[in-house]
Amino acid sequence: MSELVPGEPGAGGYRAAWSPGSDSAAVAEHVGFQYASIGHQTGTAQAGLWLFLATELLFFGGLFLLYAVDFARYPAGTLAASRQTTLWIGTLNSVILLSSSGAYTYGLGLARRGDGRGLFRMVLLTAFLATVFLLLKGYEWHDDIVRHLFPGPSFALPAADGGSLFWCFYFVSTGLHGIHMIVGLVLLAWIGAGARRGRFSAAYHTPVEGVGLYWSFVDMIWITLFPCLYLVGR
Amino acid sequence: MNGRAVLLVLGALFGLLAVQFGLAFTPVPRLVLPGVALMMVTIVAMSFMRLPASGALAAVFAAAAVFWLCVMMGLGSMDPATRTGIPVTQRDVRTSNGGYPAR
Repeated sequence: MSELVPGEPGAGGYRAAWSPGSDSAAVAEHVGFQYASIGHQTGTAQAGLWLFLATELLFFGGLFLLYAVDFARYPAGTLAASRQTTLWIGTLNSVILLSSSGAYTYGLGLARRGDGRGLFRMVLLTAFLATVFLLLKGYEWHDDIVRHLFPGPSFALPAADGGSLFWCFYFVSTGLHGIHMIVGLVLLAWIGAGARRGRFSAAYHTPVEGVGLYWSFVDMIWITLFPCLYLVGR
Repeated sequence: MNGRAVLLVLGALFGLLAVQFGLAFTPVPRLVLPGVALMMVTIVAMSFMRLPASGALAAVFAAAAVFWLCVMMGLGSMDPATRTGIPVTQRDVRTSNGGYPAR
């Protein structure tokens, strides 16, 4: 049986003292040739995903820097533009996305205990919540565009005081976040299909862990966007 | 995480969300609002993403990301935060010296 012991010191939080070939046959088929064991593979995957998320943080960080500079230059215009956002949708979406992260994390706990069916149910719930989020966001975008809040010739706010910069940030940031959510939905479908086929077990659930990290990161980005877009001007 | 732990974390996150929502309608400095968000992000990283249990390498990557984010935000906002004499938009870019006094 593998030496998979999450949470202990070692590469990626997994015990480092593996002996090659110690994994069971069912688990060993998931282990790449370059890894000594499933624990080695999981630890490497976790560390790699954290590195990927670091690049994502710097990617979104540039956007937040733009927001901060715009806010410093046009405080009144930014606050006035923020008051035009639809607060109830933003707040409801925050609750929905936090709940989806909670649901997935609970499912991950079930996967660690070998409950594939429980994982499948939680992945379904997560995907459902993510879909509701995206539908609400789509409706909100439609409403924003109908109200002439998309920067352009018919922009409804005074263009000179930073309102158009705020709404540029709004559409770019929520658009990028939405793209990340769509990617996350595809990953959830992949995890759900694997869980349904019984691919994951208490010993092997590396992809479930990785997608969980990604999904929580998407949640983090929204947590940061929400006050900047919806609350700051109230 | 078991169900109880997940509910506890969710309760803390919803509580902070409610505090943030309430603070938005009070005359507190606006910087407080992303400050609450930062607390929520920290909770997510420590609980849902299990950063403390993810090993030294993951912690180094996470710390490096925060460090370089601070460098980028700090250097990027240094000019607009400290510029006092010549706001960018008041320069006349049509003149040869960009609106600065003639030497």
